[in-house]
Amino acid sequence: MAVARPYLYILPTFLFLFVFTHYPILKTFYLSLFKWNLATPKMKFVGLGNYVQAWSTPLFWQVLQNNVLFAVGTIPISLALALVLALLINQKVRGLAIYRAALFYPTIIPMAAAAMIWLWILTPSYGLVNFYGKALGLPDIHWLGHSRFALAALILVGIWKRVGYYMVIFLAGLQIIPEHLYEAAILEGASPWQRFWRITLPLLSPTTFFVAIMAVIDSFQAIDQVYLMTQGGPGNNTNLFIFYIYQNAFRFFDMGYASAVSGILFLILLGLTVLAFRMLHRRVHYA
Amino acid sequence: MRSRAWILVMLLAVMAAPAWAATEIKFYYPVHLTGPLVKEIEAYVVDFHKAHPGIRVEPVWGGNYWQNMQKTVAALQAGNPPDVAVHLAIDVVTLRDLDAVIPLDEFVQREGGEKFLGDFFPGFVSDLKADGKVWAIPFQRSTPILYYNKDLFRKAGLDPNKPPTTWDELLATAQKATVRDASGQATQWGLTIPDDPWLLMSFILQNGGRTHSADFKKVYLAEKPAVEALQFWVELANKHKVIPRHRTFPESVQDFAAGKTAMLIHSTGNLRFIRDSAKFEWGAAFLPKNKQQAVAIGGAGFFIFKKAPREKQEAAWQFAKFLASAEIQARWNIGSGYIATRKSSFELPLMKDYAAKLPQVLVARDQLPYALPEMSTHDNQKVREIFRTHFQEVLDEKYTSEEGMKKAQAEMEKVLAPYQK
Amino acid sequence: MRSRPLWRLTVHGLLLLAGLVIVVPFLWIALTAFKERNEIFSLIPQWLPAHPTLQNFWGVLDAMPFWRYYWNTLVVAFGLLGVQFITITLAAYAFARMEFWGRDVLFILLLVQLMIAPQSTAIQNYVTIVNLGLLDTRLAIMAPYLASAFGTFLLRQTFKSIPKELEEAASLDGCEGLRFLVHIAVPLAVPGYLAFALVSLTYHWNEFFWPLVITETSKARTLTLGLRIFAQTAEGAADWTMLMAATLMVIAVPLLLFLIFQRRFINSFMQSGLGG
Repeated sequence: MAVARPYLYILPTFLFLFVFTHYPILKTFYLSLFKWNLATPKMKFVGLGNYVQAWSTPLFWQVLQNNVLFAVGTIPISLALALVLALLINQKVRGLAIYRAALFYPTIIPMAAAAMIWLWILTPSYGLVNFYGKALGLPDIHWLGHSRFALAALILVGIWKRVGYYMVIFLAGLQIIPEHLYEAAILEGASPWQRFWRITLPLLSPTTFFVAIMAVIDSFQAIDQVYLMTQGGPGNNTNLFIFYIYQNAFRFFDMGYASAVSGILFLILLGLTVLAFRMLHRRVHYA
Repeated sequence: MRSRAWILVMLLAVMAAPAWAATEIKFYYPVHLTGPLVKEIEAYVVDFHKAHPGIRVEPVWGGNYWQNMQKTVAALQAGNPPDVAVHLAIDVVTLRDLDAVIPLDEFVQREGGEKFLGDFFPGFVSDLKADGKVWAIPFQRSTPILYYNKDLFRKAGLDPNKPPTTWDELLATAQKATVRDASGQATQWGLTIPDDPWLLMSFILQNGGRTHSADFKKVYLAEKPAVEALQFWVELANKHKVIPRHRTFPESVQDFAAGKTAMLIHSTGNLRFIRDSAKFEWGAAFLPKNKQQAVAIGGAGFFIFKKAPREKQEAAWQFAKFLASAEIQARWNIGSGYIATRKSSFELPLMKDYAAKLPQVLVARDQLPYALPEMSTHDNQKVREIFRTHFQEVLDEKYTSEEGMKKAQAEMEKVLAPYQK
Repeated sequence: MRSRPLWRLTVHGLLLLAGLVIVVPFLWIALTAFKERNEIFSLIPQWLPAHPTLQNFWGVLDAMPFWRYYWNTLVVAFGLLGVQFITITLAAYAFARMEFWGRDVLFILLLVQLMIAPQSTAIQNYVTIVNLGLLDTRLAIMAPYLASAFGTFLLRQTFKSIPKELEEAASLDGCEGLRFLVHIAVPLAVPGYLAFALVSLTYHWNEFFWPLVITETSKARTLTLGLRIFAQTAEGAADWTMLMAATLMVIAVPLLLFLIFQRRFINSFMQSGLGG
């Protein structure tokens, strides 16, 4: 009976996990091997056919490119901003709690609310951004309808929403760095810049790397702002992975193909997550 | 004492029986436009229950047209489809490909066949037919119309009672009505049209072109009339700069209501919203013609699903018939802006009174003789998406009109290839 | 050495700038919520409402079953939390303290949940839910999350930090297994539970996609979804003042709680480093 005990303990968890997580993943991979869409209402086995189709579809590569661009636009800026803000807040100035709250609150609100707020602010002509922009001499750009700027707008919303959260994680990382290291460095005449480069950044690196991986995963899972703000347009300039899958599964009813793209995304994220957890171990060591 | 108790029991049994024996049907419906339309539909359901106590309808609002379609398909795949649903006319093909719905000829015959169908405007019925059978009865139909702001016309020195009637006039009017600031940026647009294929279709038709084949298997976008129509639109946006490049459906309506655009080409379905929000004098007119007067029909009808048991299909028919009745259609027209699908609706006093107060409501109906079906093909969502993408890319000057249409045509043919049998 | 006051000024300046960028959008919509409908179409943005009004809020309450959505969201978020506490406690303890065959492999299988986007499993889960006859229920919204890899993982770390000696001493006193878990381990792990609770509640309060897929009517619908739907229909599409009022009403409670329990909130997220 004692032998069975651990298994009994994990049973409820694994029961739900199997039904709602593992089974759907397996089913998705299984479905990805079939052609199943409006032209082929009865599932037809095609092996890797859907994967080949993805490979040879320019839109798939555009979506991949968009998502990579989105990640590249969001992550470095978010991390850099978050780090700078964390360093500032760590200075123990007055009003610390207020700043922290002000910067962190977007994490608490739903993306739907954030999208709503920014849709309104980015409205051409009488939206906040454009109105004051015009006063500064900037053209009245229709952000979300612009082929180049639409993605930038989504990146902006993404950063706005996440920077507080990353900042807080960096704060945690900063507070673990032992004070005496800094004290010793000051005694040796190190400048603040040197202290930053030689102590802060290196000791923060596992945290940084970890947050970066998480941010990459986040950016490949971005859907809410695409769905709520641009629907993938204009053209397909803001079509990101999850939206692409959603389009193919729920609009075009091409289940086979959508499953294949889901599968590809899953493998990409799997690789990235394994990397993240390797980093987590390193982080724990330093702490 | 006992006899009284028995009477009570009998009474209760009789009262309870209808509810107890009521047929329950599930109804999926979309709301695609601005206006408190969900409330309207719910009011009709309440009235239906009063008229037909033996049937209970569970209305499920499914989002906009595509979301509603997605809901239906998901439900179909889970083996749990609705009994009756409102879907786009262009979804006739899809629903048939999925073998999800039944032809309604039997029910129609029972109601009087051609006599019954004859009361509907012909354009609204013809695109719900395929292979000689009727697959849906019309419910919410619309066409685009030209809305114009009379106050802004006056300001621009234009005659507020003379909206443009041809493409040339449209361009000229838009140019006069566009107001620019010192830097040349438009602070007020002469015209706004949502950059969606549905609106472009009307232009193609007005140019004597065609979009698709009657058997849903072919598309004709690379033909000269279609390319010219696109080019006209592109020039309005990029050469003459009288219309904004990209505007979504809701944005365009907003802009018109806010007085930021002198003219708007948009669905008649927005009539109620504009009526309620516009703080200026406005009018409605036919879409301008070029080679011919033409306009693409949009909108949806009632479909009844195959999987439903016979008695539910009967109940669904009663419901569909009720909502397609002259009186409900008149109320729907007034409450939304969709065109009442039945000729007899316009004879009702309710409608006549309304039209006397708001003559704009008759514009869409009067335009009907020139209405043609919108583009409809197999796998239409994918095809439409290809159309939309290339349309927007041409507007962004990624390709010329000709290149863009050729590319769209090629990609669409690829998607339609499996259906060429 | 830089002068202290100048340094402080710089820091304050930068933080203020950042803070404003983050907060101003919120302020803008908060003010918009109190404006009259036509005011917002003015070509010059007015910050303060000319005639502050509460009509937008009443309009929202009239146009959507706000209280029902609120209740649904409360039931889903807290009901889910309740069940999660049970599943994660048992599983975390097993992974933290027990030796059993296949433990490491099973742990990795557990972590898979963290890697998948909910959207990928939505279709299949929809079918499962329908087969269980649970479509359009609050239980359906909770179902995929009843097991929480994140919670299990977090709690495992917490349990692992309980000294082995404590457990040994307790078992000498006859308190072992389930009794140990319930009477000693759980109380000691309260910070972990709190951290998880805040992350879980925030996530499920704000969740949008899965409830969209699995609900059909307003019967089980949650607040964030209700907001989006409201934005789409009628009044919402062009009625920014009402929309902003609705947004405000949706984020009011979490925001308020956040402001009060700020420190706790932020600490949980710091500790988790994974969720949100």
